[in-house]
Amino acid sequence: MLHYVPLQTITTTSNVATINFTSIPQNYKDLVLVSNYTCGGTANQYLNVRFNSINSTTYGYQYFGATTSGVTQGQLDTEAFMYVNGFTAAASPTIASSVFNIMDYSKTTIYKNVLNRCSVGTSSVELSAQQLKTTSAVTSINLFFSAATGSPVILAGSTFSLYGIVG
Amino acid sequence: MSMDLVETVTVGAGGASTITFNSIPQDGTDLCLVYSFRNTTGGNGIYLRFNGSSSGYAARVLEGSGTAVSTYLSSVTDSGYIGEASTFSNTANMFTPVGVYIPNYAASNGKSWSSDYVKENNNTASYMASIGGTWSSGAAITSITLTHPTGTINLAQNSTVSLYKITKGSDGITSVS
Repeated sequence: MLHYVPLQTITTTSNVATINFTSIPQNYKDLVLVSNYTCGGTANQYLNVRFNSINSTTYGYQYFGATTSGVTQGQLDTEAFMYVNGFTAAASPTIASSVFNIMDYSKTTIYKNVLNRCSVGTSSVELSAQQLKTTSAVTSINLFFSAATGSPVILAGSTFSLYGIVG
Repeated sequence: MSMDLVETVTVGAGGASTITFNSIPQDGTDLCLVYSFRNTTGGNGIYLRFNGSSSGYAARVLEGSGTAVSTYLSSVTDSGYIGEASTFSNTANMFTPVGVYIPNYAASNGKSWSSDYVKENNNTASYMASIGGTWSSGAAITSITLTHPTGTINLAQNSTVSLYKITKGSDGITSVS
């Protein structure tokens, strides 16, 4: 069984647009980010991730999932971020969850790989493998929305927990 | 250690139609259920009920059968679908493994879970699925019952399930904003 060490948990007490974990210690094998949140806004948006504030097309992902429209899969290779999840419109806030495993985050000789399992209420469930094509150690994680359209926010009462996994 | 074993149940001779974890500690952030089940009767779906509640559940299933992929909503709303169990007609001694993650279980907002299972039957049929589910209640989860809404399961001897609690905390280094 994995040995989880809690690094930091935040429960939002007001509506926020971003979540940032910084000064992440480098002495664990992997990281796990567990997100459980509801969103507000007037348009469907995705909650995305950047490591170390890297804002270039060095991210990629392959996904396999299901929505109300059926099964879907695909690959994107020159993205400017990874993603945690999608969400439904504010008119019917829905619980979104994600367990986001970041492997070998502190190694400086390899690209960073992520396995993500996420769902948004009963509207979607998805598995993905994601990559950051840099050898830099991950020292910070930034959660944000990809577009300001609809003024998306994370509602109060949402929880984000970051764990270190002992190797 | 922040991922602590709360309780493990191993089904004895004679089987079991339900398993309940009561008095779940409230000082954690998330819960994790890991089970390995085989059923001695025809029904094979495994469902959960939080706090004995029989309403407010929904689940979306992404399933692969070995020949096709599909998605559907669970038709059951009085309990939450989390996966399958091997049945009496499946390969002898095969048990179906399932992992269930329940974040933010003590919070006052709605609850969710995600689960994955793989059900193998000696290459004649196999299924795997990923499930996302919700329970609309704002009550903290204090008990979990694993069962089938029509009571058609009888878990075989040596079926096991473990409940783990993942505790929140701070390492004093990582910052959040």
